[in-house]
Order: sequence, then C-alpha cells, then structure tokens
Amino acid sequence: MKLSIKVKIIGCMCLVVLITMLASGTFAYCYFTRILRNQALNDDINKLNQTARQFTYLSEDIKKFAYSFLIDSDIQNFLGKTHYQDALDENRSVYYAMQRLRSYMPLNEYIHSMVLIGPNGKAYWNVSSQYDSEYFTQKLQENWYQEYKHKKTNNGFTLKYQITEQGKVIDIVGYGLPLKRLDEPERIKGELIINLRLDFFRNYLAIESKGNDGFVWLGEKNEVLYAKFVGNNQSYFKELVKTKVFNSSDTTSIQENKRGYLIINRTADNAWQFISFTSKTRLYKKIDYVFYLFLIFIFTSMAFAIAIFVPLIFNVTNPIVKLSDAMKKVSGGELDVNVRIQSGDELETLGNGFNQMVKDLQKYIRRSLDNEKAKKEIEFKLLISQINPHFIYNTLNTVIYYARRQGNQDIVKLMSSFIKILQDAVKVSEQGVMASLSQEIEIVEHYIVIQKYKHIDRFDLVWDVDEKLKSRLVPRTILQPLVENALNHGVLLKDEKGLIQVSVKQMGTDMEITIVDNGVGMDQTIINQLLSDSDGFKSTDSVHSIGIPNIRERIKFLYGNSYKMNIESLQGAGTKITIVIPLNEKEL
Amino acid sequence: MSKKYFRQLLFLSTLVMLFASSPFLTQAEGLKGKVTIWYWDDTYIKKMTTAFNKQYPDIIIENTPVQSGDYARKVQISVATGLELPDIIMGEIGFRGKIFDLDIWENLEKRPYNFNRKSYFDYLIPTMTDSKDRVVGIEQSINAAGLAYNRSLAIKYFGTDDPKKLQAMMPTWDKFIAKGKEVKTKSNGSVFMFPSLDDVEMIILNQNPVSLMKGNVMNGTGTAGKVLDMMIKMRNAGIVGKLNAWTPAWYASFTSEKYIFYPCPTWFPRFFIQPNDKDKSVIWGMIMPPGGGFSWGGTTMSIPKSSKNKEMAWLFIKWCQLSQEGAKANKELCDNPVPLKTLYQDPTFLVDKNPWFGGQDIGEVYYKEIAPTLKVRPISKYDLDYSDVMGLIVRSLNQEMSWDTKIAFDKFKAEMKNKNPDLTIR
Repeated sequence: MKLSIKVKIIGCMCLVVLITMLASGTFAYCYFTRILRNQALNDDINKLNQTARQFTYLSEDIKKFAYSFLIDSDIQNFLGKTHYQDALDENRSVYYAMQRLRSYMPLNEYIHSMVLIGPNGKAYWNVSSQYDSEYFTQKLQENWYQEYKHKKTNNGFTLKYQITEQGKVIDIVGYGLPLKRLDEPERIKGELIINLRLDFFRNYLAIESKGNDGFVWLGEKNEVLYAKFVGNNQSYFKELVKTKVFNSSDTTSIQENKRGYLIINRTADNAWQFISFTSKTRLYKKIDYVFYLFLIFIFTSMAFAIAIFVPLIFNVTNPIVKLSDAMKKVSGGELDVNVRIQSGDELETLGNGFNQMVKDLQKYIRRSLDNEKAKKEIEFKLLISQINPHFIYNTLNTVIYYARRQGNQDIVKLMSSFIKILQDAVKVSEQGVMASLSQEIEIVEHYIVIQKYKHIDRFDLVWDVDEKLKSRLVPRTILQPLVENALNHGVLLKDEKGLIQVSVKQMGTDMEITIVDNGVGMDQTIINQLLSDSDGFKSTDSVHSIGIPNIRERIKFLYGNSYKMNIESLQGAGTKITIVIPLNEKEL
Repeated sequence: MSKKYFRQLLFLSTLVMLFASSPFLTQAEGLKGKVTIWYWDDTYIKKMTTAFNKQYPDIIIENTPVQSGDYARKVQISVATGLELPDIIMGEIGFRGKIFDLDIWENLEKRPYNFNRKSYFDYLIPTMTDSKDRVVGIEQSINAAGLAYNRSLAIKYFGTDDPKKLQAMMPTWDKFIAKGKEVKTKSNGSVFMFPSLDDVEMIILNQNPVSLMKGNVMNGTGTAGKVLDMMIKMRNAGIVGKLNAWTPAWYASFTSEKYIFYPCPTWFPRFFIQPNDKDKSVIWGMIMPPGGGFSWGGTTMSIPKSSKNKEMAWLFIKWCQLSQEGAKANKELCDNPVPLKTLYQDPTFLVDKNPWFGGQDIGEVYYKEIAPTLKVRPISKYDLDYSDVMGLIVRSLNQEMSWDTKIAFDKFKAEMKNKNPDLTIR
C-alpha cells in the first residue's frame, strides 16, 4: 500500500512521540514510584517516631506530675504520721492526702485514680469521693506490682493490670514513685501509684495508626497493650505479634517482607515498643495515583504534540502534495499548470522554480516545434530544389560540352560557375548546415562570375579575408545571399559602377564578417523590418531563395542571442552588414 | 366532663404549651452541629443520643466522661483558668450547690428557653435553682428512694419476702433495729441489715429534708445530729456492716448474701444493682422505708453562659426532659423517670417491672407511694464539705466504738469549722 507523505510523517511523529513518552514516562514512573514509596515509608517512620515521642513526652509529664506530690504538705504529713490521736485523726490524714491527689486529677484525663501506700503498708485508693483501703492492699499482691517491685528502680511504669469498678473491667497501666519524708530522705516511707487508663492511650493510638494495616504497642515484657489488625493481612500480623518476631536491636528499624513493611520503634525509655505494619497493597495503593498521573501525562502530551505538529506537518506537506499533483499533471502532458505556494521558505522557492520550469518547458517546446516546422520547410524546399539542380546540372554539362566543342569559353565559364552553385545547393542538404569559409567564398565567386556576364562592368567585388580563417567553419550559405542582396538591392540600382567589399576578420574569439556596398542604401524602416523577428525582406530571386531574416534566424539558432547581425545603411551611399559569430574551433 | 377526659385534655394542653413555649423549637428543624457534654454516665448519653438522632440526625452529641467525684473541681478549674466548658454541664446533687453558686449559668426560665417550673414536680424546684431562685438546671429524674432488699435473706430471717408484710413488720426505725438484732442473733453476726453506715446516713439525712443552712448558720443539729444519732444507734446494735460505700467491697456486697437492705432510689438499680449483679443471682424486693420514702441524689442538666451552641444544647435537654419522645426513651432505654408532671397522669407510665426485682412493679412503690410525699433538702454551697466531713466521721464511727452522738457531733462540728473557719454551726 502506498502511503502519502502526510500519513508517513504523522505516523512517524506519533510513533516517535509515543515511544519517547512511554520510555520517559516509564522511567519517570519507576523513579517517582521509588521516591514516593520511600517517602511513604519515611512518613510511616516519622509518624511512628512521633507517636513514640508523644508517649515519651507523656511519660515525662506523668513523671513530673508524680514528682509534684513529693513535697506536698498533705502527702508529707501523711507519710510522717505513724501515731494518731484517734481514728478520725488517721482518717483525716489519709483523707486530705487523697483529696490532694484528687485535686489534680481533673487536669489529666488519662488518670483513672491514684493509690497511696502508707508507712503502714496499706494502700489507699481514691476511688470515690472518700477512699478505699482494702482493694488495692490486696491488689498489690498481683504479678504486675510484684514485677514492678522486682525491678528495684526508683520509679517507672508497671505491667498492665485491671481494675473492676461497678462491674466494669478497666485496663490500667500504673506509674509508681517511691515517697520519702523530707526530713528522712534516705528512707522510703511510702509509694504513689498513678492508675493510667489504657483506653485513653489506645484511643490515641487508634487515631494515630489510621494509615496502618497493623499496629501494636508492646509493654516491657512484650505484653500487648494495644493491637490493631485490619485489611487482608490480619492473620499474618496477628501471628507475627503472637510470636513477637521483631528481631532487631536498633531503636528504629524497618523489616521488609513479602507482605509489607514492619517499622519498629524502641525509642521509649520505658522499654515500650511500637510496631506498625503497612502492607505493600496499601502502600502502593497510596502511590497508585502516580501511574494514572503518568498515563494522563503521556496521553495529554501526545495529544498536545499532535495538536501542535499536525498543522506544522500540513504546512510542509501540503505544498509538497501540490507540487506532486502538479507534476503528475505535467507528466500527463498538461502544461498549463501553476502551483501557488506561499510558505515563505524553500518550498515556496521550489514552487516558484517549478512554475518557471513549466513556463520554460512550454516555451522550449513551442520553439522546438517552430524550429522543427522551419526545418521541415527547409528540408522540403531542399528536396524540391534537389530535383531541378541535378536535371539542370546534367543539362548544363551538355551545354558546356557543346560550348567547348564550339570554342565558346564564356559559356563554358558561365555554365561552370552556375554548376558550382547548383552543386553547393545540393551539398546544403547532403553535408549539413556548416561549411568552411573558403567554400563559402568559392560559391560567392562563382555567383559573381555569373552576375558579371549579366551585368557587365556594373560592379566590382573586393575580398579582404584573413587567410588563416578560410578553413574555419561558418554557417553554410551565409555569404552568397548577402552579396546577392548588396548587388540587387544596392549596387545595381545605381547608374554608376558599384563596389561590394567582403571582409572576414578575427575579433578575439569571434569572427566578424562585413559586407559593404556603395549602392542606393535603405531607409531605417526596411532595416528594422529586416532585423525584426517577422518574416521580412527576402531575396525572391536569390540562388537559394534565402533572405536576410533566414540568415539572422540561423545565426540566432546556432549561436544564441549573443551573436547577431547588424545593418547600417545610408540612403544613396550604401549599406554595411556585419555578422559576428564565434570562431569555430573545428576546421574543415 | 369526665375526670379521665379532663386529665387527657390537661395532658395534651401541657404538651402543646411545652412545645410552643420556646422560639428555639420552631427553629429546631435543620439545626446542624455538635453539642458537648461532660457526664460520668456515658452509656446514658449514648442511648439517648441514638434516640435523639432519629429526630435530629444532624446534631452530634459528644460526651467526655468525667467522674462525679472530680466534676465540681473540673468545672471550678475550667472557670478559673478560662478553659472551655462543655455546652451541657451535669449537676449531681452532692456538688450541685457548689457549682450553682458560680455565676456562669443561663437562666432557663428566661427567653429563649422559657422553661415552665410548673411543669415539673414542685419538690424538685429548690434543687434546680441557684441562690437567686433562678432555674439554672433541669433535673433528670424523680429520685424517689425506697429500700431494696434481698428476697432470699428476707425469707430466711423475716419469714417472708412480701413487701407489704415486710413494710408492716418494720414501720419505724426502732422496729427496724429490733428486727436487725434478730437477724444478728440468727446469723451469728454474719448478716447485717445494711452493708455500711454510709447507707444509713443517706437515708436518715434525706428523710429529714430540712435546709442545711438557716441564713449563714448551719443547722447541724437538725441534719448531722439526727443522722449521727441514728447511725450510732444502729452501730451499737451491731446491725450494720463495716463497709464503706462506693468501694469495691461495697459493690461486691450486692451478691454476697450478707446484707439485706440497701437504700434504693430510682437510679440505683441501673447504676449499682444491675452492673454488680449482671447474672441476676439475687432477687430483689422494694418497700417503703421505715419513716417513709425520701429523695436521694439527682442530676441536673445546665447550659453555661459560655456555650457556643446554646440552641442545640437546649434542644437536646428539652427533648430528653420535656418531650414525650424523650421521656419515653428515658424510661425504656435508661430506666430513668423524667420528673414531668403530665407523664404521671398516664397509669402505664408508672409501671416499672424491673427484672432484677422478680417482676415486682417497683414503679408502684416509687411513684404511687413515695413520690407524692417527697420533699427535698434545698441545695447549698456547703453540701460538698458536709458530705466529705460526714464521710470522715462515718468512717471513724466503726473504729471508735466509744463515740456517742455528742462526741461524734462535736467532731463533725470541729471538722466543718476546720474546713470553713468562718462558718457558724448550731
């Protein structure tokens, strides 16, 4: 199938743009996906770090909150008293200490209640508007407190435990702080335990872990304080939490596996760990939009490129198509074609060149036809003339034979010249259009012999020919018609004897032929007529029936417009005809 | 016109008056936004919000649970520090006097609220007003209180669990103490009439609703004096356990089969019996206490002047407390009797067959026997201090067995003076 240049260029352009866009898009997609994935992971890490930091700040707040009770007068009073006046005195001491603890509680929503362990070992719990002294005294026997005591640290967080209040079970993490009297700083007199609501922290983590598929908060003993499992990887992460395979000693680490990314943070100074899990599905879902973004970008760019390039391509291809159509017409013979291209570039030049070429072609063909026609006419005339000269030639030979037998030399001479002229006429058709200058001179001399018998003492012909030019080629039958014109239309029309001078000279690379007569001359109208393109003045009785226009046209035909014939004449004084032709290198 | 027809007409006209009284109501449709509340009873808010949102889906009710023991202090701190208060503040009877004394409340009788105090039971109005008799809080419920009893222990020690017979058996506190001594003997001192002297205090204090303050003088004798006297009598009789109320041991006592009676206001089954006896292991009964019914507790809903959503806050309060739909939701979802007079003209509204009470219609005791006789002690700014000091004295009574009423009362006065040096107590 033959495709037009327009289709080819647009097709190529689309292909190039598509390949370029796809290649650059794919590269950019891979590159940005990698960046975005890393960024999403970094976001997760930062988020987890931020959560851990929040917990660290919260731990610090809790510590400072607990420290604020160390030197409180009611607490110090409670710690200092070992002997009471009566039960009311003891209850009052506990009551005011409890009230002091309670007074700060409304400021901290995460505090459920507080426990004050006195010098007597009893644990007073500010559970109600009063207090309770039994529940926590028993609760201190549980593992969470024993583990805490076992650590022998000054203060810190306990393991998770539960408080049952009005039938509700509440998850708690405690913060413990030993209490001392200011006057006995070396002895621990009691202890403060702040009961922190795990739900408060869990709610916070639930919000913070919204973007994760799993989130776990592990306590000091790897106990799960908060766990969230969502999405398709629930069972996987549950199992992971169950087996606690978070084998890294770094404070913050990332573990990648088939399913996703585990980010582990151990920055909290209370040995808490925060582990977030983001599945690859979720992570890539977050950055999926980039794929669609690049697709949109590629196709938009393509559409944009097509929208811009197609008109440009049309601008280029339309003139080519016009030229192509015009050429088809020209090749089909239709020369009346004109291509109109106004692109202001090489194509416009090409179009103008084409138009000029077609015009020239038209001109040359027309001229060629004219020349062909003229040639045919000449050939026809020559064919006709070839019949008579041969017959006449034979007849005249017979005449010469009889004249010679009878001793009439004039007739012999006359007929011999006449025969030479006739022979030259035959040569025109047989030997081409060029002859040597000497051959041309010979014809003129034969012609003059005849004319001398006809017009006795009426004229003289003088030759001034450069000898070395005689062998050079000149157009055949160029001299005789001019000499004939000078005789018949110049010299013979005068009463006195006339003179015709023929000179041939070299002028640089040219040959100058001059025929001068002192005849009657001619006016400028005739000169103009002779030199114009029209079929003008013609010697009707010349030997070859060839006039000046014929010679002029031949010179133009053979040598171009640079070489021409010139006629100068003065009425009553004579005429000068000058022909300049290039000096032909060839010799005969 | 028949009496029944008249009642129905009155009921309808009151409802029409209620709904037409507020300009807020006409604008209620299309309200959108969030109302914030601090309330220790998160379950109540969740249930009521669900019902409320069926009618007003675009109003979000957001509760922050704050323990009642911390409530007054949190409000005071917020006012002092300029922290944002919620749109609705709850006022439990124990600390209500303290916070109502702050000049931060909207007068709910004024426009655009237009609360009509006549629509509520008259006895509650003194607990809903501030010192200038302005209604600044809407009481949530009728807090009529009777005596809940463990039916199996009643059969065991009194030979019957029939409320009428038990009521007849103990018409006075002296008879009650006498019966308690019998129980003590029969059980070898292992079963008590009450688990805690705090329970006794609550009953005696509220059965005697005289004002705590007479002008600037505290009526100690008429309040604490009487309470201490009864407590010491019972303590000396050995018929009261030594638990402290509102402690884990006290919560656990409901199923311990050691304590027969508990003071039981309308909110008590919901807050204490049900959560502490989820399996209904004990079948309870309800009687009018010796000396008659009383009012105990109560919680109001108030709007602080600083609220930015007063219109929506009032809409929620009004829907909960003053509308038929709200009253129905209160009763059915939260077992809470709204103290709107007109509701109690409908006999079906009075029925309360609580599953923990073996099908007994405790509504009959609350609303037919006790409610018509109710009187309530006016609130005062010393209520909280009184409660704290009395708590200390009650706690000490079990340890200082030698204290008689006089010593205990003197101790009470000394502690009150210690907290409020300028206070005169008689």
